[in-house]
Amino acid sequence: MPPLPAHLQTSARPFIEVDHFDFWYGPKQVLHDIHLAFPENHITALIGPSGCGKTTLLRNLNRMNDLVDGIRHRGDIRLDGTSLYDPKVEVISLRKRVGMVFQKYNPFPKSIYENVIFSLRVAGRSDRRQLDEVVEKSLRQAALWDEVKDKLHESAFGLSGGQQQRLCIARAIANRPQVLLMDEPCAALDPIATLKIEELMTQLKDEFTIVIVTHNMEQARRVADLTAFFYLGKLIEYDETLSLFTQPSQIQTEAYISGRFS
Amino acid sequence: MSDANSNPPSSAALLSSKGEIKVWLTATGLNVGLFMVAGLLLLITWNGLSVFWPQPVSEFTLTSQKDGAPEKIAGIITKQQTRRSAATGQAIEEIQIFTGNRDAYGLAFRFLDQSSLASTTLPSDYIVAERSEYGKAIFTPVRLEFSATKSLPASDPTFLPELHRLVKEGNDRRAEITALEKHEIGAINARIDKLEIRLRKADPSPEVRAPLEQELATLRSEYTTLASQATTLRDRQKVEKLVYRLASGEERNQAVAEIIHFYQPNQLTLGGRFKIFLHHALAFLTEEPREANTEGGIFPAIFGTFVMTLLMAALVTPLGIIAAIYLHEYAKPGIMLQSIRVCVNNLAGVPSIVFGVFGLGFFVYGVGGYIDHGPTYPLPERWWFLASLGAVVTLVLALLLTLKYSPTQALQPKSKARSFTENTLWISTALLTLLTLAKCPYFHGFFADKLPSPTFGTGGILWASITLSLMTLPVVIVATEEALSAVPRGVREAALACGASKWQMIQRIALPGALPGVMTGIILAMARGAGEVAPLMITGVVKLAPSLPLDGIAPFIHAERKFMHLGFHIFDLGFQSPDSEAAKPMVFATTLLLIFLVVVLNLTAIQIRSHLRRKLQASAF
Ligand SMILES: Nc1ncnc2c1ncn2[C@@H]1O[C@H](COP(=O)(O)OP(=O)(O)OP(=O)(O)O)[C@@H](O)[C@H]1O
Ligand SMILES: [Mg+2]
Repeated sequence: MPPLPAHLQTSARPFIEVDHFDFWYGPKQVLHDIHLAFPENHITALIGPSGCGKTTLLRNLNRMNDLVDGIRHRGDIRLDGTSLYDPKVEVISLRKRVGMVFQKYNPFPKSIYENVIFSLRVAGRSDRRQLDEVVEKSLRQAALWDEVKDKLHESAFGLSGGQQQRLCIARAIANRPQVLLMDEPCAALDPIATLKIEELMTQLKDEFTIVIVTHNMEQARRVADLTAFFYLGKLIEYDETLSLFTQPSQIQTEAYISGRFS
Repeated sequence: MSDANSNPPSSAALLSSKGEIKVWLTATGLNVGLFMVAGLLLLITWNGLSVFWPQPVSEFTLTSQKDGAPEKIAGIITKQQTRRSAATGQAIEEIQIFTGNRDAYGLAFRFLDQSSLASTTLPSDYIVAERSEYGKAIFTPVRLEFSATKSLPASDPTFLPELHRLVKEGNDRRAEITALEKHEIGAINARIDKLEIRLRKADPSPEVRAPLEQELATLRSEYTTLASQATTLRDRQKVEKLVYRLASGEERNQAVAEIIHFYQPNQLTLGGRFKIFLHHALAFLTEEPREANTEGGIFPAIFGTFVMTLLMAALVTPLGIIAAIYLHEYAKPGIMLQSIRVCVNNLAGVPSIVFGVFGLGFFVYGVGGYIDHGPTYPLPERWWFLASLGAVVTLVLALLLTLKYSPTQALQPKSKARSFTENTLWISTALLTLLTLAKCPYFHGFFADKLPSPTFGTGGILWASITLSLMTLPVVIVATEEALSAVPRGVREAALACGASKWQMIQRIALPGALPGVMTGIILAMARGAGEVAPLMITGVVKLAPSLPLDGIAPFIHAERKFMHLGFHIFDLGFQSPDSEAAKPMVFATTLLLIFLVVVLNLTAIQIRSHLRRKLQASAF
């Protein structure tokens, strides 16, 4: 049973469990014995220096890494109790349960409307009224509705960067996944757009289990309930955000969060 | 390069550095190429357009005598050049004139030494007339003869309007004759042919034969009526005569209805010239060729090129896109994929005539012959049953094995042994099906009753298009692959992360994103195919096709018909024509049109590509 930080052991249900997980790109081992759990309806931040394997872990949670040739893993990841690697699990339905927002916003070359409902379209849903509802709800949740409601059928490329990223979030939550994975969602955005997205995350927390990768300590402090610190492919420390930032138990963590890190 | 690195120069220093001369050298290379292309285009445009421009007719009085008077000749100056006399080695100035009147002079062109000209005038009453036979005539009119007794002299003010009216009547009647002979009589002939074949095969009992024979008799009598109508019209064409005088003084006469079009070049204003120019250009584009293609228009060649190119595009597009999707999205990188890519690229370098030979051997004689008369060497019945049974069994096995594997799991690698068995089963199904089809002892061809004259077993527009689509396949494959690689990875991953299957991702995101690039490829392929000649010559192009590949007679699309093609038309006019001098204007005009077509296609491709680039840049940030 992978651990949650001590005080959550009873109050929260672990929704995603990463169980002694090792991961290789070809001959290169990138994750070493990762062992932790993400609690339901909480925001968990993954922090750590560049190249330590945060994205790799995140991309394993919805099996996006299957696209890469020559990968290998050991250990297990469980979503709501079932292993992702269970032969009965279909990758496609898994990805419908685990939405993902990428570091670089990547809307499709389609209209705003079609962007939002893409996941419904590929699932074969075409009832116009339902789709309209989904579009409005998702865009409202992504705090984008008021800005785009008059140009839903214009190209998504006409939006600003921050708007495009929020559109990607709307797209990721349109078919109501259970988990939302966000890989540095604010890396390309200005502070105002960042703030908007952070607000958004706190609202979405009631409905989704959120895992976010970030390089921004302040952001982790502001939004995350829990924070995990990674270093060289190993999980160094995992705790409630407040205690991790105020009383880190490991010297590497302390060095990293205080910026004394090379 | 290296010294620039060790000592970074200022921009002023860069300008005067040693690199400059190399820059000039590369620029020279580019300029030579540009000048050559521009020169070629200019030459062809100038020569091609001047074909249609009405030029003045000069009357030359020669120093030599004929029948006691100075010899005269009229014509249009086409060339001025210097010739070296064979005897003395001196330079002699000479001109080439187009005299027309091939029926009177035997040749339509003549060379005159400048020294032999006594005087040159531009008499205003000369007429240039285009006739349905013997090419152009250049003359001064004398009178119109309506009948043995009634005539109208050229000096009469109503002469020109009357001539115009008669020429127009003649044209209308000629169109009527063509419609009668080509379409109505053609349709009846086709029905008679079919009936005769049916009669030949029908069983001899009179109940069966009688209605058929009666139908045949009705058709034959219909044919006779139509034919006699046509004859009457033809005779009517010969009634009015135009009497005219050549420069030499000789008087000749000519059925007015055989004149297609005439004008008085020495009386034309600029506007009038322009009108005639447009008339000529339009006639060139819309009329059928006459007199071994050296006169008239090139409409059938334009139409043939157009239909062939479209057919080719329709064939090469799905094939190329499917192949490219497989190569780029599904095939596992490795030796196999590498060698397939090399093969595809080499295919683009194979001389086109090789494709033509392959098309002739495989499509025309092989597939076409099969369609006509069935397999030449059918399998013995017992073996054939075995083969078809095998095909069914392997198909069922392959289906079972493939369908049991849920497509949504497609991201999990299959076991090696399993995919090997699957592939083997599919391949053997395909091979066995092919064998059963190709060697079926019960199939005796769709057109066996027309044998020995082949229907599909000879060159035709379908085979030519297929051959060219094979030839242009690499263009489409390479363009599609490039366009697919240009679709950003982020977008593909986003689609997959939304729960799309790989095929949905390709179909909804990758392919639409790649579409402009794919279209560029198709247009380039069309440009290449439209300009190709060699493979067409042996797979279905002819110098004069009796009918178009698309027309109003059922089944409307005649894929087996031979057709005319602009590229081949140029070759035929320039090198196969009995009078190459007379055909030269047509060569230039046709070349101009073909180049125009190819340039337009290429420009469209460039336009689409730059549009694509702008779109991709917009999506970058
Ligand atoms: N497709 C791949 N093939 C091989 N190696 C990879 C691949 N993707 C990542 N890596 C390697 O795995 C390691 C971890 O990469 P990862 O992207 O997970 O880092 P990260 O923590 O997200 O870094 P950053 O903060 O810079 O995004 C790196 O050393 C990287 O070089
Ligand atoms: Mg990363």
